[in-house]
Amino acid sequence: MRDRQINQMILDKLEAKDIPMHVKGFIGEILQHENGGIDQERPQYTRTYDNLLNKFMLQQDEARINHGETE
Amino acid sequence: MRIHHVKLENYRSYRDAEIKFSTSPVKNFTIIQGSNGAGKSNILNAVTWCLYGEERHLRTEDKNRQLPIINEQVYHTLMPGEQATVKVEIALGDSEIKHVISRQAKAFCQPGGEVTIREDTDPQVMFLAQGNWHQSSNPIMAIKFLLPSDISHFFFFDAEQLDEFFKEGSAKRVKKGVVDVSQISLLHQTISHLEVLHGNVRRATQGISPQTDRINRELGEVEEKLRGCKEALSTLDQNQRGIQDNLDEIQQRFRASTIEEVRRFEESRERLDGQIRDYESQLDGLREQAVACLRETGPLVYAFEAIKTTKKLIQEQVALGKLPLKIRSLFFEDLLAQGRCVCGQELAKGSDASIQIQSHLEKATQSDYLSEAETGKYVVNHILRGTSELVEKQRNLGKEIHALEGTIEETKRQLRELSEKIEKYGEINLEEIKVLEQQHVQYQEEQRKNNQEIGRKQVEEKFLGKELSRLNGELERAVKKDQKQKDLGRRLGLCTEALQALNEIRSEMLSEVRSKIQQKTEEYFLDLIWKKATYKRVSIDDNFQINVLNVRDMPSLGTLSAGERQVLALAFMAALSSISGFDAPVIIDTPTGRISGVPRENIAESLPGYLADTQVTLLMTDTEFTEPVQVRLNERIGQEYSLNFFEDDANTEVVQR
Repeated sequence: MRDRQINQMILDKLEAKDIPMHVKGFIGEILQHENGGIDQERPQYTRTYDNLLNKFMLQQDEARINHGETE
Repeated sequence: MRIHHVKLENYRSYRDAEIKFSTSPVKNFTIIQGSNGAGKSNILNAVTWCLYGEERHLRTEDKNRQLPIINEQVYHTLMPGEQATVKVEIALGDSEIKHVISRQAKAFCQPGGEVTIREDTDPQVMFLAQGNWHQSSNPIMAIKFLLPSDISHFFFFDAEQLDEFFKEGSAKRVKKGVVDVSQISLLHQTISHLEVLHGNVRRATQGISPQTDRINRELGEVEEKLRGCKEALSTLDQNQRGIQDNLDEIQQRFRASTIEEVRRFEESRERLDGQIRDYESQLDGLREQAVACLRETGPLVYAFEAIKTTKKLIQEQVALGKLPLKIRSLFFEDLLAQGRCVCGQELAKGSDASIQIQSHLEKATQSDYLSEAETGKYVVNHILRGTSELVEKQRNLGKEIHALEGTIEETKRQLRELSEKIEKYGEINLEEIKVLEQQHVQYQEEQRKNNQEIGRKQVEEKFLGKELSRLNGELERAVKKDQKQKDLGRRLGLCTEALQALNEIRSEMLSEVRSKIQQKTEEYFLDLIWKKATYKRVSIDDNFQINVLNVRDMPSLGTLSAGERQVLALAFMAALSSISGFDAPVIIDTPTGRISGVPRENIAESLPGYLADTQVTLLMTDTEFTEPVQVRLNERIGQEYSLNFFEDDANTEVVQR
């Protein structure tokens, strides 16, 4: 449960950045993670960041495969 | 987010009270009115005690008398062995209540008659999820995400105490407030954690190859230099602030001098200082334009002779009749491909006609460079014209820069003359003035040297940043060369790219947020202030030092009256609220306590517009909540209460109006 949203200015700037989608997704999730939720223990951020890195590398692979299939 | 209600049980002057706050989006104001001592500030204290365990707005007399948190009447009527509970409960949510926070303290009367009070360490937080109420296992964290303590000063405040913001050392407080409210602090934290992860991933690249080891070594060296550079900049900034404080103090003393001439000298000096600052800013702009122009002009000037020669060669071909080309090779190629001439004759392979066309084609092909020249002659003319214009522009910029440098030098000469006059005045009349003036000159010299050093360090920082990016890119490529380490290379790349993007976002946010807050604070301040012809601008510099400039561009923060400072504080808070992106309720104790008559009505007229989407609670005295103020706020008031304090039983009654 979280009530304090991330400042929209930060999210708008992230959206406007000319960087690959998987990098945006990674940044978006680590920001959400840092903003946190009250029903979690204070996270071990390095472990969580590692997991998010793996998640978005996988996303990058999937995007490459889909792009290859389209071509 | 809105406060739905606050319930008070045995808390200070409140035996048993409930205040329902307006949660309407349109009628977003709740007014709680009471005379001095009726218990208004206790409402604000109750909120901060419940949420953060702190009563931040105790009156001096309460602090001095060390009144207990429990209601005085209850305290004195407790018999040995009896106990009583102090409780404050706050209900929060949007259209419906989603969180209920409460905090308690227990008062126990010992057998000897002494009353001991034990406050709960933590509050209790209940939250609504999927239709059911649950108790939070981590209430402190829960409150941190609802209404963080570190920014609560900007939403729950006593307007008369906001002076603190603009006193010495305020820049640090202001910056912290801005950074926390706009969540730039979230970016700081994220970047700091990502840097640790990046470091871990980078360490995993050691030992892959001699190349990666070399790059890692270089990265380490550059990072060390960058750290040193940033520390040096931080120290220089701090020194600069210290020097500026000293200069401000000397200026203040000159301005406050009883000697008319000294005051006039000082006013002239500040005016000239302001002019120099403006001129130097214009000069920076012109120099930047000149550099950009030079970048465009340079290659063209370098190749000018070659381009002129090309034009001459083209003109020679035109004079010889070889340009424009009569017939292009493409035309002959088409004829041969179609196998028919424009006259209709067939062009069979090996026929006389076809051999003749082939011969024309060969001649045309030899001169294909001429077809390039034909289109090229227009481009060449355009380039030559453009170069002349750029060179002219460069020349004009040079003249402007030279003229402005002359003006700056002349203004500095006038400043030096003024300084000599002040010093000579001191020699004749007051030793103190001479000493102050010498100190002023010395501090200005230190400031100038500091600025130069800051400039050098900033250039170094930029260069080292670029080096870091380049080396990180090189490392990523070197790691990816090794097939077995491709994944590691990608992890490194993702971390590096994410860090770079976050750093850029942070830098942009700091600049934009500061600029927006300055703009809004200035807009609101100039709107609310009554001396409209006196003040011109509110500035918040890169170090978050706030100042108010009068119509002569002289810093006037130190000379604002208490009421004017209160207006500045209200303007700043409203500006923060508007850019924070954080929907927090605002409670203001005594918003217009030091402001009289028409200016107070002005604030009542304008404040609702600045805080349109925010739940606002104003704790006002009867002298603040006058009829003209009521009329101006009327359309926005959703709830209204008056407080009546009964001395006999030390109880404040809350009456809904």
